[in-house]
Amino acid sequence: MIELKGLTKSFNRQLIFKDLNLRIESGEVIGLIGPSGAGKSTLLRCLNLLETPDSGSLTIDGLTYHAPKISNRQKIQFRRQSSMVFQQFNLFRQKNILGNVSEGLVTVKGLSRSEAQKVAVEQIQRVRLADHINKYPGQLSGGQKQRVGIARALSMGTNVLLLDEPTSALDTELVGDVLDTIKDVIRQDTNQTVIIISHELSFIKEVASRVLFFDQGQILEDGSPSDVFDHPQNDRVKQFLQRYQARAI
Amino acid sequence: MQHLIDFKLIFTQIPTLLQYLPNTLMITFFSMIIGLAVGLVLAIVKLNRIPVLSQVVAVFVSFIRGTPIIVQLYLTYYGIPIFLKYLNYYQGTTYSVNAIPALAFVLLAFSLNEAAYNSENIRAAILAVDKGELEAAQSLGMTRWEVLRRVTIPEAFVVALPTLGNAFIGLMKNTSLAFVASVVDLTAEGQILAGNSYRYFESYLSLAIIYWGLTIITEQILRLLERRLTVFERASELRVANHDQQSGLNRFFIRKRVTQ
Ligand SMILES: Nc1ncnc2c1ncn2[C@@H]1O[C@H](COP(=O)(O)OP(=O)(O)OP(=O)(O)O)[C@@H](O)[C@H]1O
Ligand SMILES: [Mg+2]
Repeated sequence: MIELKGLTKSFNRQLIFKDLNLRIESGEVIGLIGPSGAGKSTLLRCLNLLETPDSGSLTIDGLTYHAPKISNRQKIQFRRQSSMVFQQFNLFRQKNILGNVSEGLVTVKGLSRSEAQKVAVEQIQRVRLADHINKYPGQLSGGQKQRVGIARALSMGTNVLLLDEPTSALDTELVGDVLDTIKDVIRQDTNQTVIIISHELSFIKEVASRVLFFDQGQILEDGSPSDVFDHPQNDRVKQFLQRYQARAI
Repeated sequence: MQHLIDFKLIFTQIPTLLQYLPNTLMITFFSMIIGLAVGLVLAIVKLNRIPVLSQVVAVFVSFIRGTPIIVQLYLTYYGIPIFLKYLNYYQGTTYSVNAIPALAFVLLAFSLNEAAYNSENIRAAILAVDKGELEAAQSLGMTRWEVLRRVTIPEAFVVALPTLGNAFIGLMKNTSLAFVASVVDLTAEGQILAGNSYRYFESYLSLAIIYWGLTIITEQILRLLERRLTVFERASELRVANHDQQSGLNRFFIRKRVTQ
């Protein structure tokens, strides 16, 4: 369960969102959509404490953090409840695929190298990259890199998976591959809470159990994919969807 | 005009000189290691703009860069005894300068010198580390120290290696100044031999050959180290080539393989 209460965040006096309230149940797959610059990434990064909110509170599975003060130890403890997949992959370039995926298991979870490798290999198989296990990120295509990013996030075994535009840095022909992987991951573990930011609206419509439309620091629409995509109430949402549909055709 | 230069002596005295090679290497290695560790701390102080400390570091670095190493050696050599006398006087302690080996003065001076120079290189190298990778490490739940140890240092090291390698070679040659603290290294021994035989030119020529040889060997070791550390880069270059048929060289460098 994730709960935000009165969450506020600004960057040097530029208010990104204010007094945001949201509750997400375990196992929900949230599609977070909205125009560029709306603050979607900032919101997601707050959940992982890569950004520190100004005020309000954040709860993930019973652990509550009242912004903004937090000790380094508590920050890490809170952060370990979610894992993150980045738009630019952010793989460790000096480590091979196996090293990338086992890194957190060894350094953060304290597993022995052999135990960590066993778990890592399972996750790498899950994203169908078992043949590339000894390669370095520089040897992979963008789509393969992102699948490593997903395996690395999954390896930590957190209940919450956060994906920030996982396919928008990819060439069009590679997008489908990564979306399929994400689809598999969601299907394989129905207890995992997933929040995914994406401009791939048809994909969101297909996999999300709930869609949030975020703009100007507010959640303007919140409902099932068919509610939001087929019967939007808010004018801004309607406009946004129309623009996207026009582009798709 | 016989024996203006004793060519044989140039080579026959090399083994005698090499008895003091361990001293030279020891001063070089320890000063470099301490210099790297302290340099890293100085770099972190500067990067985090820690108040007061970062100003102190700036002054220290400026001082070291602005004064000759030989002057720094003399300052340590004469300064520490005075400092100890003050300490004894005010704290009632009984430290004796004689208990400190001459080597310690030399190590201290060279370490501080290396620390100052390395701190600038290390700082630049740390700034070059990809922010995205640091965020990824953080998001996995690593502590600051773990991020530093697992991502920042290994990545910055590869960037800084060429500069640090040059610093190492420079240091190795600078240790020839150790005689000012009456430590007998290669050069000091060369001077002693020359003093006995009056063959100064031969002695310095022998020394030149030894230092040159040391530098060439060090350069080769550094080249190998760099190759070893940048496997990930060369692996990418081979991407176009057949993935599964890695060249013998590549197989040699990629050690950590997992067979499934
Ligand atoms: N570190 C930062 N410092 C200052 N301003 C920032 C920072 N990060 C984001 N912003 C600003 O916050 C606003 C929201 O950015 P954010 O990246 O969260 O938007 P987004 O909804 O993810 O957009 P996009 O779809 O383009 O990724 C933007 O105006 C951006 O310029
Ligand atoms: Mg974004």
